[in-house]
Amino acid sequence: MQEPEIWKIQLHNGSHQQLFNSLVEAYTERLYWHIRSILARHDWSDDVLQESFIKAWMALPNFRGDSAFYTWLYRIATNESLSLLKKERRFQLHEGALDFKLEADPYFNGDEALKLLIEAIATLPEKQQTVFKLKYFQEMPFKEMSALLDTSVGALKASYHHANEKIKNQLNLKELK
Amino acid sequence: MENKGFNIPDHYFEQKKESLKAIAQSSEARNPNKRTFRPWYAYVAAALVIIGIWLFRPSSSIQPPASLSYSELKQEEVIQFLVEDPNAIYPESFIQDLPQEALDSTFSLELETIDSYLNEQYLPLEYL
Repeated sequence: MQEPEIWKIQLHNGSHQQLFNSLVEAYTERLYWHIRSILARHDWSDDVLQESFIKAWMALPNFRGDSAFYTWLYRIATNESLSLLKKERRFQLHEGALDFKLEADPYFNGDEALKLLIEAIATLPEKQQTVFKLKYFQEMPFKEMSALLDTSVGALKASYHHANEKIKNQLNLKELK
Repeated sequence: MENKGFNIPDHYFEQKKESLKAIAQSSEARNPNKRTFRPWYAYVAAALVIIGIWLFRPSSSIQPPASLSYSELKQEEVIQFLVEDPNAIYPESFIQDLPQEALDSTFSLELETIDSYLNEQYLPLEYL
């Protein structure tokens, strides 16, 4: 999607309020589903979406506009999602064991297989989780993922491969569909 | 993902957009180019205060008077001082009022006496 030229002008003019409102209108849904694909739970996704937009708003005057606004927002949202996963994982490990239950989310009514898959993914290290989810749910190319996560394509492929193997073993599957 | 069973509350996006815009309206973005104005004379005043403090600082070259330790004086020096006593200016009335015996009497300062002065002890009974 080609972003309107007026956004860059508003950025340099200092019309941040107008620009921010346009970004919210244009990207809230897409960012939400991106975050939800990483976090799975609605309540977490809602928090991270809000936090991402607040961070973007605060940092908007510092944004030079070298990349598209969406790429920039996508990066913020991904980093925020990873931070939450890391924090949650640390908390669960501190509590005794990894225990992610999608049943706790009233906004999930997927089938049992998907629920088991997501719960299995939740046992992976947060970077592997993110790579796997971006590939599995968004079918994101590794090159795009590389720019987003600031990691080489080779490392991402390796992460995805390890994640794939672990999940297959956990679910006793021969192949993930 | 919506098709796979991930749902959202009704009117979630409409409400979210409004709340996000409201948050932005209530807080200001951090603009690095917008600095709070501070006039030049504020810097001059601050510099003058610092210079003033530096000029009127207590001089470290003035040392507090060291307490005189008698033990550092040589015994001969003390004896010499007490015998000669260059500052001994007595009022004449004092000398005139002295009994003749006292004027006639001579006594030599003994080490024991000097010690007692130096150690702020009471004089031996024979000198009272």
